[in-house]
Amino acid sequence: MVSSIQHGIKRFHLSEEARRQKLAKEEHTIKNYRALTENVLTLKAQGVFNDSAFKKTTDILDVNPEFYTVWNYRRDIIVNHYMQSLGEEGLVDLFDKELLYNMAKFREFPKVYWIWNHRTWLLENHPRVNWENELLLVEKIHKLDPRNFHGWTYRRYIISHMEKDKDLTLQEFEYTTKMINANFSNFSALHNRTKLIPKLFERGLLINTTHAQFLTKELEYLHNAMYTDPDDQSVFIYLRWLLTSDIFVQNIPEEQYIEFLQQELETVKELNQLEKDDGKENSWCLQTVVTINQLIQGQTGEDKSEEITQCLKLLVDVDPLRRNRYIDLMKR
Amino acid sequence: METTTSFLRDKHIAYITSLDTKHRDLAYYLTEHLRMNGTYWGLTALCLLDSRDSFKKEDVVEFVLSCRNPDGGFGAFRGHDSHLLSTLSALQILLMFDSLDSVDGEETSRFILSNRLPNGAFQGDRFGEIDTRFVYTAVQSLAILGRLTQDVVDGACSFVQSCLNFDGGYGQRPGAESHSAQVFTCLGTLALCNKLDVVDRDLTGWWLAERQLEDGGLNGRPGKLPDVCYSWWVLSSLAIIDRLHWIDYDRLRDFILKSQDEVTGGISDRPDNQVDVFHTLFGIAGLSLMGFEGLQPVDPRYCLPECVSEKIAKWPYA
Repeated sequence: MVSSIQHGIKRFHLSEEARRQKLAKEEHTIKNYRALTENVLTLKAQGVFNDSAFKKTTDILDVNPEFYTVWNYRRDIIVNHYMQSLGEEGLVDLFDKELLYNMAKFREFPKVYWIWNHRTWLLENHPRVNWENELLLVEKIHKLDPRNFHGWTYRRYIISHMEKDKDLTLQEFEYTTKMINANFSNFSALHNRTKLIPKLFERGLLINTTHAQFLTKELEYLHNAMYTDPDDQSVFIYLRWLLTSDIFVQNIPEEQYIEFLQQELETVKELNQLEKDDGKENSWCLQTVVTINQLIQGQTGEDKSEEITQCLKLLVDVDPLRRNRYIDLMKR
Repeated sequence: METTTSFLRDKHIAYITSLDTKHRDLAYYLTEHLRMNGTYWGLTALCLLDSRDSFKKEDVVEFVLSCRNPDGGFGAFRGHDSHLLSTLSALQILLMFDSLDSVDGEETSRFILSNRLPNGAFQGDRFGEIDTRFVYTAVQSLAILGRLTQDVVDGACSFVQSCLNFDGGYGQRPGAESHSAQVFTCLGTLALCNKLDVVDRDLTGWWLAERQLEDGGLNGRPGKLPDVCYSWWVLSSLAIIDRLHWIDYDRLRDFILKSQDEVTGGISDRPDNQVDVFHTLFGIAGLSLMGFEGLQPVDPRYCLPECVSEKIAKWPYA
């Protein structure tokens, strides 16, 4: 599949001879493809909605799954032909087959928006959706690519439908834990956690767990990852959320929250010392020391500017790509 | 890895103008659904290279107008359905060629507004895909037509802000992970709506600056590979919030130049990969934002040359 947007395809240049052969080989395909395209677009313009036109859309999409107009036509045929002529069982069968066809397409092209879009439309119009199946499908997609954001968006969409019957926040939280245990750098899963944790509390799903207890556990969990790979920004970005999120800041007594900050400051400094002993200060540790000091300063009014400036000065050398940012922050 | 350091201006022009001559390649036909966008990418790159007339104006304008549908929108190719993405590209092309008077603004804005949802967001077309990309395309299209309204502006900004995450980035829709391309569409929307005061510039700037990797390239999300297109999505976002200098220009310039194809011209997603017109534009636009290579200045809010974007009436209208 060649496209106007090429991602991750190794560069190659064809020799004159190879190019001649390629063009010769493509000549026949072009002729067929153009004839088919013209045929389908004509039928579409004439408002023809029937079985034969539907099959022709399949033929085109098999060659070019990004042809959005043909996906549109396919949906119009479903609405104007099949949904008028088939009974409920017939429609369930048709939609199930269409879901299978669609799945085959995005297994091959997991990042094509039009294919995901078609699937969502199918579910919106399917007479009897099996949502559990859709969830299993997302798991399969995430096995192949745990960061696929279409997959994550799709998952949240499915859950929002399934939650019409029962709350799934806890199940979803556990799913992120499973994904994170497999790879702590999965920021998509960490991100989802930032959306789920407030819901766990708001919906009263954590029995006998205070905000402080939960935060303690979550920080311990995170420390493991920090010590395993102190250069992993995912972990530090998530740490920032834990330390600044309203769900904790507003629900933990002020004194206890400040203690959390002090303890975390010590942990991060220790880690940085280990890194320093290995040869170099760690930019994420230094940045986090700055952030925590700012938070403590905001809470207690204690002047932390000396340590903050000291860290920013170090960062200018440790992380030269972003030196101008640190210089700007020093001026504030 | 190649050690290219010079900018291959003439080769890029030759590469872009060669794209419409590939009538014997299957790929030419398989990419018809992106032709309007591709034409915008190519023409904008040519304008930044100060070579607009390497495209023949009459042919391009005729092509654009041939893609206009009775619903007032534009498809990506003759006979293709209208979509907000191709509609914006069509308007941008016409504006660059001073031919905006050839479309009925009333009709086109009717198509755009027909895709507006009650929550202020826009769907890409009647099939309901929701994405902050479409809010941006709708807002810029209406801005080009001089047809923004208080209602559209308020709804767009409030939807965009509902996609803001704790890290200062923005996602595809509420609840979605921050992604550099969505940050561009959201900050772009806020900029066009004169509503940047809601942005915590230091926070968003922090997340954006952390996209630069050791090889100088920028990525779209934490833990992902660098890609030349983020030279646009990240850089333009930083420029919109006055934090452009928070990344290292020289290192990024090196990364973009190393992604040029010395034989054919054009720029790829990263060094040693296949080039395409999408990455060619965003590489060139990134270089222009950083002030390199004597390129025409690009407007980070619109991804149009400044000399073109200055013709667009700014919100709020006087």
